[in-house]
Amino acid sequence: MIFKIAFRNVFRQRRRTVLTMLTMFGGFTLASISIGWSDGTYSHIIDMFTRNQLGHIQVHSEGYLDRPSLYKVIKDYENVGKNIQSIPDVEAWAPRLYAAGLASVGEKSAGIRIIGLDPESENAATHFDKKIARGTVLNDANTHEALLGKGLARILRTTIGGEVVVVSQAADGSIANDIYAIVGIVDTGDEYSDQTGFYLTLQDAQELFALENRVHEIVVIASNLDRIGPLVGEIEDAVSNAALSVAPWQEFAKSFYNAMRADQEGMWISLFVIILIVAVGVLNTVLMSVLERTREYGVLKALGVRPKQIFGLVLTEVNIMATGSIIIGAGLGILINYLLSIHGISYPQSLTYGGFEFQEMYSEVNARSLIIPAITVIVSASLVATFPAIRASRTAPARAMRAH
Amino acid sequence: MSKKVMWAFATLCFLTAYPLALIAEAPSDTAEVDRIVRKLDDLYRSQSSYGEVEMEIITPHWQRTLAMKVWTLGLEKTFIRITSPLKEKGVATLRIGNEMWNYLPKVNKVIKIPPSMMMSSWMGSDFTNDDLVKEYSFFEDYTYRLITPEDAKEDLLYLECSPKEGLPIVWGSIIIAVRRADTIPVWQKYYDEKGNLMRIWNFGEVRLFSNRRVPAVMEIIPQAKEGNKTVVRYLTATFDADIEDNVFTLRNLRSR
Amino acid sequence: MEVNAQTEIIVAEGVSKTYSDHGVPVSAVKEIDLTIRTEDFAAIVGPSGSGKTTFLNIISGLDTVTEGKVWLNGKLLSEMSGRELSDFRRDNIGFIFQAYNLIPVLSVEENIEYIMLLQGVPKSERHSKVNKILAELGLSGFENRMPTQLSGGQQQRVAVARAMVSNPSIILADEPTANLDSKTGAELLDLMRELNKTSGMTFVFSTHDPMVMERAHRLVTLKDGQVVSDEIRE
Ligand SMILES: Nc1ncnc2c1ncn2[C@@H]1O[C@H](COP(=O)(O)OP(=O)(O)OP(=O)(O)O)[C@@H](O)[C@H]1O
Ligand SMILES: [Mg+2]
Repeated sequence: MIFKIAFRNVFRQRRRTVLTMLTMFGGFTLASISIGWSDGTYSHIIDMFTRNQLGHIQVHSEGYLDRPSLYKVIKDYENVGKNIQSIPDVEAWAPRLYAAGLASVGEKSAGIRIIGLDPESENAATHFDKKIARGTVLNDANTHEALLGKGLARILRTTIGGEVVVVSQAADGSIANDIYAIVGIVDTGDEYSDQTGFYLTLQDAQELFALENRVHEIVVIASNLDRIGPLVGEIEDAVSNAALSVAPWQEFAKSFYNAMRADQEGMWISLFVIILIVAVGVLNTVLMSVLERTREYGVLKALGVRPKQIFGLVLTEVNIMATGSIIIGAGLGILINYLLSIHGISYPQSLTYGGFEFQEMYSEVNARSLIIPAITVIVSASLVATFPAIRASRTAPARAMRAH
Repeated sequence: MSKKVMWAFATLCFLTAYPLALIAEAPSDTAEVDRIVRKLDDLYRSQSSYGEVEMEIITPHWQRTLAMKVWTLGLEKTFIRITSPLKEKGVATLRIGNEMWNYLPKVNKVIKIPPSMMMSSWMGSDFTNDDLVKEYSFFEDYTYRLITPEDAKEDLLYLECSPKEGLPIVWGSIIIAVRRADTIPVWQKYYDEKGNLMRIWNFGEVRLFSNRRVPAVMEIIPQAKEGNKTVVRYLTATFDADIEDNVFTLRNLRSR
Repeated sequence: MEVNAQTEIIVAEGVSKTYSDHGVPVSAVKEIDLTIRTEDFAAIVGPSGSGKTTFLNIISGLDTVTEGKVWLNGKLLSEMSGRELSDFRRDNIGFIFQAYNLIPVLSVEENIEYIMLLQGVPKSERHSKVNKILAELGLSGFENRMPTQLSGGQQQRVAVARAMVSNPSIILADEPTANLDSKTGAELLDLMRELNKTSGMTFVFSTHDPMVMERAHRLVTLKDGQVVSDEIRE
């Protein structure tokens, strides 16, 4: 019955109800879009960051992440990779070999980071082929072909068709040196890594560094961002006999992850704004209607309705409005987030984050963008309504009924 | 005159400037200390030299021995060619003044070492390229004094050398121990500016080459890399040999 | 003071109420001693402003006293919690107010069944009771009307129905006939008298209406907040 009275009260004062609900609806929709947007943006950035290069999960020899070294290798990497591939939810994996060296073309020399990779699995895992700005992909065999980062090609004043001599030291201590034909230029979007990036096929790199059948890193791509956590454990089990460490991107890209988390706190500001909007709107209307209906509360109390029930009545009215606003707001929020997730918004100036350039950003439809604003609206409306509700529950019946 | 080719290779390169005097007592006057320091500077110096050297490189991951021939001319020029093992046979380094080139027979290319790689290891040893290029004189570039460390030994003299202001020397100080008897060095300890020991050079097996008594073995132990060590051993050395200037050319670098 | 909870349903002892009207003390009732017994059919009369409404409010716990004590069913009112008081009113007192005071958002039927709903009376019982009382008060067919769709008299009858439907032990009625025509008023009073006789329900009215005074068995007269006479008539 309390509910019935509350419900009818909500409909009795249409204008006021509409106004209150508009503020709640506005606050909710705003928050929903801003959370969807922020999540969408970060998913996009995470995707860019992990999916395109780092991978969701990385496997290394123990201690490699803390102190990378040519000698900290994953032995028999093909078997390790096969074990990983057999886990459900592993979409792809790719082996990599890393080493430092000196590259020279004619009089020009530069320090380089040699990255040996398996073209086929690298394409499947991180779309490496899409990062080749010019030229062709590497062949699978040891062809003595190389790809150069954009900046490195500029430093060495060379391009496709040129030859690069590479000198370094192999894992057996011997002098690693060889000559490679440049078949393509790589643009990863990360300027710094493009100034040193020198890509060889895994076979060529293993031969150069006397690291046959060994790699430094295996990147793993999960079928779903949410599956990364559990997958780490499953991979650990799958490779447990090899003294390897398995890390999710949150760990090996810690500074990026922390920066991103800090940025995401911006979400709380938008929530604070809704709380404010809702609070002001609700306080105003609820207080007005409580004052107006003092007589009614007096009657109810005279009839034997308990103070608590009157308190509940006021809160129920507010929550009916809040729920209604949330339902309508959810519809609009989903719609807008959905549209923004398809069409995106392009920035007037491209934004650089974590060394990547972003031209367009997308929203995301997710549960968070509905649940968090819903809770915020309900909690803030209820909190604000508490004061008028207490007032209503304390109505002195005799006095209330005398006031005509 | 007072420049110094890197110690390791320089081992090949000096002249006997002084007869082997026995100094029974600690030198008290500065002139005497100056004389010891000058002798240190000149220990491995010569107008020209030729030597055959074995370099043993030990790391926690591998261990190998390179054999090489080394030519020097004046203080400016050095030429090194590796003769074994097979994989590195023919690899050569030419230094003229501050510039360095490596020749790689496998790809038949000469590579100039860029300034950014000067601190990198030379052929995987504990020498940096910079060690080969930099030439400093204790007498001219350092201030020095005799000291007596706590664990001083009776038959050794100890010198503490600090670089003079404004010189691009990475060390904070170097402590040198020489034999009291003939002032031949026994070890040198290199410290950084904070006083941390960075590397130790040990000298040993004093031999007579071209009438000059010099340590034939030099051992470098870097302190930052545990388990690493490089030992240089002179098999032969000829000082003031008759060496043609055309040894120190890019053309010769290329010829195998 | 000893209160016989069996027969003395409401006991007021030395009850005074002073309002403050913009700082000026207004004495609404003064040192009233009055006992309402079960099966009373009492009228409180007196000129306008003599304190009738104030006194009714006080003895039902709707208003507080400035001085004195009130016992409800033997319990001291000042010692009852808000909840106890609410429940006591819900279960024992039926109110009929001077102005009708129906709940505007509820229909006639809903207004009437409201208290039973709070008491947890099952739906079928509520329904039959509502129908019965509506018939008795000549309101059959108005079940689904909203209060604003009723005349003043009809609203008053709904208020009476609401007060009586849950069978309270006492009904307090502030000018119950003020807005009724004399015929309806008479019918209503007869109905109340009937209930008083058959089920022993106690009635206390405040009134100016001679028709009520005629039918009352006890006549308490107030003047300037004081009881000037209290006569029992058979
Ligand atoms: N809240 C109040 N503030 C100030 N004075 C009040 C208040 N309530 C009642 N009074 C005063 O107390 C006195 C008694 O009022 P009350 O309403 O009890 O009279 P009544 O007998 O019911 O009159 P009526 O027959 O007109 O209904 C009056 O003088 C009234 O003005
Ligand atoms: Mg009155």
